[in-house]
Amino acid sequence: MSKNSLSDYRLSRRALLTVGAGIGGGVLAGGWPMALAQAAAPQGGPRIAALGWACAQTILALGVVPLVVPEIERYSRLVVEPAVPSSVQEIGLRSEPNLELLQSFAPDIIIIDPSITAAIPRLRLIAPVEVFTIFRPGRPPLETAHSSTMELAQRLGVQAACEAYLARFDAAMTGYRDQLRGRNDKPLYLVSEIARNRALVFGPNSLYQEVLSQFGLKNAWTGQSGPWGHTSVGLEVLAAVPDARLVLMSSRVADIEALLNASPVLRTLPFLRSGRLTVLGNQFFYGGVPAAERFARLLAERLPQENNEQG
Amino acid sequence: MSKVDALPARSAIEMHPAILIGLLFAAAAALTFRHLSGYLPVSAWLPVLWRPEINDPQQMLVHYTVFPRIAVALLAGAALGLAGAVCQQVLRNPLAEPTTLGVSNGAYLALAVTTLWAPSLLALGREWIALVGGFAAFLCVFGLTWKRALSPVVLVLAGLIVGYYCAVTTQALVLLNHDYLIGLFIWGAGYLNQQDWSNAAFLAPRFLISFVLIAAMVRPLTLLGFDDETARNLGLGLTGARVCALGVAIALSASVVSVVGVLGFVGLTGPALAMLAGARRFRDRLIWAPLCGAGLLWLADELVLLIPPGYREMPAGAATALIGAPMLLVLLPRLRSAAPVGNLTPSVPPRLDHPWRVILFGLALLLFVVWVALAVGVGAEGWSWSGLAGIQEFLPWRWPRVVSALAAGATLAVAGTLLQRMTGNPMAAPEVMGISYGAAMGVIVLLYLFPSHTRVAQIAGGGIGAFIVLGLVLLFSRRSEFSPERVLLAGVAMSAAFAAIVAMALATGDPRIGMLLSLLTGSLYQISPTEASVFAAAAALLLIMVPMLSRWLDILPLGSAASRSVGVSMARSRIVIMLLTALLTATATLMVGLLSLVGFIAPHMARMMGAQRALHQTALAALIGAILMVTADWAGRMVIFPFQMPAGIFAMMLAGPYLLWLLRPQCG
Repeated sequence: MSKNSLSDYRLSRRALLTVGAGIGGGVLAGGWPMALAQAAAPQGGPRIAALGWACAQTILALGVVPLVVPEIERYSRLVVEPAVPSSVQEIGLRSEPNLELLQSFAPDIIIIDPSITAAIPRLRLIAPVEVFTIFRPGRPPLETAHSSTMELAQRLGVQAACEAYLARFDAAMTGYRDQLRGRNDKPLYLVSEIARNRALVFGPNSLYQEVLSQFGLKNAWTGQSGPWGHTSVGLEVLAAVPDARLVLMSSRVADIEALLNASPVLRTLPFLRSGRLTVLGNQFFYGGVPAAERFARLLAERLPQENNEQG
Repeated sequence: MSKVDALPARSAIEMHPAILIGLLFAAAAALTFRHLSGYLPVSAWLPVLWRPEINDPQQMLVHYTVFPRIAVALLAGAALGLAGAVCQQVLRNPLAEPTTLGVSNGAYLALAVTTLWAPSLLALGREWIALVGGFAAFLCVFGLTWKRALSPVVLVLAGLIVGYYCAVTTQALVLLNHDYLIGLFIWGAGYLNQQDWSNAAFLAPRFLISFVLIAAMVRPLTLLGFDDETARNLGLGLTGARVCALGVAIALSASVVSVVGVLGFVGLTGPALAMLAGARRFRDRLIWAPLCGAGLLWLADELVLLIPPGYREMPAGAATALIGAPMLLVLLPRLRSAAPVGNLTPSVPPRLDHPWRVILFGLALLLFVVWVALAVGVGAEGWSWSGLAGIQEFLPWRWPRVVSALAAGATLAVAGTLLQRMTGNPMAAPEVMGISYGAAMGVIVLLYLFPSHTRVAQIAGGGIGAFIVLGLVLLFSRRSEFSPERVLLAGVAMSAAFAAIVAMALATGDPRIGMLLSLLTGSLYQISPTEASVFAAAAALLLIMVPMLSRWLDILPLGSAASRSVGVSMARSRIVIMLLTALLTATATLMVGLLSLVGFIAPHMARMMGAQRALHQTALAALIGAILMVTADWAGRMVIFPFQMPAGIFAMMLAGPYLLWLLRPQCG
């Protein structure tokens, strides 16, 4: 990641946060609704409201443009792709999409992530509701995402696009596997956040595990990883696999690198001592097929040749 | 509290703090022995502690992670115990701890702001940012109370308000940015993992210096435990003594918070356990409270390490609360004090001449606010003012929120008034009794056991949680005729335990955090029309019962002797009031989550406006609570449209400054 894009990221995040800061002052009340005044361009298909990031991401990947998506600003920082077209309207928080506004858009169908199932009875007053699920206990998330995507496509009447998309995905994955072949067989720690003394690490039941297995790569974290595929562990635990590489699933590299460098002992962690650190940028770890594709592509791009290393 | 010092009560079995602390340390040491033998043979321990073999990874691991972890647990526990003991002494309140003065909340806010706006500063070290935040919060408290010679009551109130304010601001930031703040949650949960000796080296000198300073102040501190008059007559400069003692305590606890995160419970429990175990004089507590805190935290952390690796690790913060809360509850019957905590009421404002006029005005204002909340909204086309016809379209979305905001605000305000009148403790609030946390806990358990569930299940879970806590609180304060300080202490123990569990839930980075947050911050989003009607009816039923209690409520604040002499049975009146409070709180919590800030603020506002009789104060508080909540919910929907700010956050933002203004020094 270049320095330039990093600072861009900072700048716009600051802008976003200024919005957050405006709460106290209430300065924004007048401004926003004006910007929202133009309704989304109607398409041929049904008018779809996507009230979660996982479903919004998959719907966009299928080539369908929803009317509304929650927290668009943060989506573009954290989920990144597929990008939300500018015609899509903001609908509020993922946990509390704005019902009055939703009603005024008169959607034909509402797609939600499982986290707001409690709101279904009231959403039904506006339009029929479909739940898009990725994490089911005991099933690999990518497999569930695959079948959920097909069900969703059927409900939206875009089966052909879905089949084409999934075929493209499989082809891309084969391509990435060839790209990675023989490149790196050292185990990887997938880490998205490092707080002072702990890290959030992805484990066997995460979306990424399946991508790693398809590529013949090993996850260095083999312990438990909770229903959502991640867990927080003490940094000292990461020393347990000495030849591992650290894959950072976050764009906030500068802070994390500085944090790691600040502590002399953290620098003795094997992957840091020998510079085995790969930065993938932000990943949406509750996402579906598109999130897996983004992870696989960036991994194929950025995982270096093992023989280039000093290790 | 001070009276406990003065009148040592003898219990049937004499207990010495050394017994309890010995038990704590023995258990922790046994666990540590077991844990360490898993790494190295006993003979190798000492050499590894001093000089590990650099090429032996196992030795390096033990030297740099296992030993420092124990050291930090001991030091942090001792430091918090000491700080807590000093705070409780200076503030004359058994519920006080450094957190009471806004320290952890200030540190948390500073870290949140830094993480979001200036992440590069984190590289300087979280310690310093947290330290600055903690101190800034405390300076606000100092500044607000300076002109009142830092009187304990005003200090406690100002500390609570500043602390709440920081917490609420943090919540607002978290709600809109929780994806960026997982690191902050992990820090806040209080994990003790260490990777080197730097934290231990950071804490050790600070603890030693603070201990020496406090030890040098034993005499003035003991005097501070008496009332101001006595202390002054004995030749003590009150302000100077308070500033010095609190300054040391705050600096110490801010250092701890900055290094290990929020472990507030130790600061409360350490001194309380020491006292309950028999350390009655402040001089004794000065020794035993730090030891008790150290033992507690060490034991908690060793228990955490017992959980087999591979499972989710529990933060020491939560473990401490889980171990400490039951101990506190079991020891509660030993707490004896002659006087109610409640000689603490701050100066009484001039009485209202025509309370009913003020109440009628409040009613009119409430009606106006309700009408605005129903008719005015922001839509895709900007602001709109709906007439009677246009209102129909939005009514189904708006009326449940308005009705439940009204009911919840009034209910919480009345619950708070009842508690404050019964206990005479200005810190009393529904939240402090732990009931709202119980309800929230029920919902959280449900959320994690059954990923998808219905609203009815959620409400049932919340109700069950609230009643379990109520049952426990009543059970443990039964023997004392439900004496206020015991009920409050039991409630605080519960709240602290639950708060730690909530922090742990946040630290897991679960995608349902958004929902959990809106539950905790008092969002009215989830309320359906049926629920709103049912809850409003329940609230109305409960509120009607309050006027019947007004005689008790007028008499109880006068103290138990006065009450008995006019024929009021303490046990019966207290249990009735408490049951009613619990029902009110449970109803409100199920509607709007942990919204108890209103339950704390509204009664104070009513009292400071001059409503002295119980009935007047209750009615005025109910109106204030309702107006606050309806306004807050409406504003929360408008200000960052289409996003929404939970009513709880907004209520605090609206009411906090007013409350601080009321605390201002009055001339003449």
